Amino acid sequence: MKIRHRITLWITFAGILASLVLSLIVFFEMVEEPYELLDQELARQADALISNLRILPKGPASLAANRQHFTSPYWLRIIDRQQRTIFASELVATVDIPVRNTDEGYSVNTDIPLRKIFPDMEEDDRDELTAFRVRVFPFEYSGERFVLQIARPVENFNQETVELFTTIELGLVASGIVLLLIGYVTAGRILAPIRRINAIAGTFNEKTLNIRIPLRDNRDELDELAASLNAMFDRLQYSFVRQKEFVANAAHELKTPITILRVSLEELLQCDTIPEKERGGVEKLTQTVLRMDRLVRNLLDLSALEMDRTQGRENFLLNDLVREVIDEFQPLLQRMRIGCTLRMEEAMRVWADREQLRRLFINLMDNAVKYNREGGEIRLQAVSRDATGEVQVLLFNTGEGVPAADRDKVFDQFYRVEKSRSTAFGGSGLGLTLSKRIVELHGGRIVLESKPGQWTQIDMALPILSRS
Amino acid sequence: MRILLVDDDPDLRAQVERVLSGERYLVEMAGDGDEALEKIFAEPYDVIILDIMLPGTDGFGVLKELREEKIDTPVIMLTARGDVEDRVQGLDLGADDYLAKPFSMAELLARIRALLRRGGNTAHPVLQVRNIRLDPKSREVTRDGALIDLTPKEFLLLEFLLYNRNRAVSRFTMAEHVWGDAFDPFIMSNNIDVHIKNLRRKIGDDGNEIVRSVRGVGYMIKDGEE
Repeated sequence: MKIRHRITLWITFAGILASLVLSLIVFFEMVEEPYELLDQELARQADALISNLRILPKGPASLAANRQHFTSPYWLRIIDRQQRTIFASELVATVDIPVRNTDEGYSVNTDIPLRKIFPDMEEDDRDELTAFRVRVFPFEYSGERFVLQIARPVENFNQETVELFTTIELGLVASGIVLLLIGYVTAGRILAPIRRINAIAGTFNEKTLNIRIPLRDNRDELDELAASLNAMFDRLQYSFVRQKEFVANAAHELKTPITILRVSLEELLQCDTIPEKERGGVEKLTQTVLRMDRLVRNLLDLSALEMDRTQGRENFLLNDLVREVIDEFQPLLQRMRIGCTLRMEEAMRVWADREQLRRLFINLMDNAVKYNREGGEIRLQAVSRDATGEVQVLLFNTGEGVPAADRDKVFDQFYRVEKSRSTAFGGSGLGLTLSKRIVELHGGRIVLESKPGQWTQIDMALPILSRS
Repeated sequence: MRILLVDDDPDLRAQVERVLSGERYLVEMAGDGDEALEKIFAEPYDVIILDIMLPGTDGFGVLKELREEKIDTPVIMLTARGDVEDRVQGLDLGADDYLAKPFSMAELLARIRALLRRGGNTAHPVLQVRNIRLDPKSREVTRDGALIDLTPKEFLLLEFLLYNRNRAVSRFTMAEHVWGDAFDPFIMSNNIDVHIKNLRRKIGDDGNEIVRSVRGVGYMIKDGEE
């Protein structure tokens, strides 16, 4: 999950949790408050009643005449120990309310509409059902124990509660949506500098070693992150440059000793006086030095390409260049009885470094021949893609191929599928690395496809078509 | 023929000097730019082989100074590889040729001989072996005066072997010379035999007596007469 979504969810979650707690408190306060008031009123009323009671022994109770009005609008019942009703107000005849043995007030719902109890009620509430808030008070009168059950008809709060609950829920949903929106926007704002840093850091590679993230100098955490990344880029750039310089210098330093070896060995081979049995050794030594020579040259070429030093582009016909290269391989192809077919679109005029491209095609053909089998096949196809300004080249050969796992590694320095074979051919292990670098310098792509044991194909796209 | 060899590596100097002396050149050596300049101003040379990387005054400095003094001795620069700028700068300053290290002796000898011909002995620029004559300037080859049509590669091979007369030249070195650096000489040396076969046929070398095969090395043109 993206951090933006996570932040959004956290903000929303926290907001909803806070609203929920708040609304629950409000909800319960609003639901409980009227009952508390009612319960207090019922207690007061009960006190007043009890103090004004006249109870005859073994007989019904009565209220002092001037206290009759206490009974309205209350539902009142007094029960003696034998569960006999010794006093009841008018409403008792209409509603039966169970007695519970509790100090607390409790609610009882009935199916009696309000208008039956309050005939002179306002229109709109008349159809609502009546509920009763009930309290039970035990008391003693001249040594006997009685229970006063007092209730007051109230509107049915259940419905009100449901309404309140619904309203609060709707409010929660609404605030959730608002929170989501705010969270999303806020997260976006928080993350905007990170996106900016990421966009720049993402483009950092060995070819864009110079890029740095602009600092805003407000010293916040993100600015610190940018500064750290910049410091890392500095170190990376330093190591990259150092490493390239090292390769170039090392190769450079090897040139003179190899020249000495080469010249000496070639001179040695000029002598007719070398004993026959030593000759093989000298030849072998010469081959090895020549291979070192080749390796050092390729290393120097590669580091020159790595340092982007040589790009002299010109306009020329790719067709000519490819034909020239293939012509050079003809005697070799005939010797190995390799069939070579060339299918090229007519007159592809390109804007590129001619020498580098020549080198590229030579290297690729070289591989196609080197790793091919006797009587094999090479197919080179080149077409232009006008829409993208690319030349697409497919070079197919019936060579040994590369195991799937190694397909990306073939472009790495010193990678060889089969060490013994390519060493026998004098490969330096840098041919494809050089090729890839040349393709990259021209802004192109190169991939290798292969079916091990059957065929290998180089697929490359070079955006070098000249606009005519 | 006097050659000045300027390089800061004594082993390389010694090795190259040995070969050049073997080819009957008179070789003087200098280990740095200032020593080289002293020698150049003291006595004339026919060819100067000049490394670019030198302690003190570098190769470019030496070249610049001697050209300013109107000394037009042919100069072969030993350059760093792949360094197009070096090459361009060298040629701009008036170098006659360049050679990248590591180089082969056959290549160096061919360059020296080409320069010597281009320079002093303009009267006899033609290379000859038996009845075959090769003119490096017009790039024409004749057999008993009749023009032979050689491909550019056959011409390059014949010329290279003639410049390295009496020396066995390996297929590898020939491949380097003919195809340059971009091609892998290990691969291309397989082509040499084909081209030599064609060359022999065209110059009428039926008994392989002009272009001789040298076992384990390559080919050689052996003949003193010009």
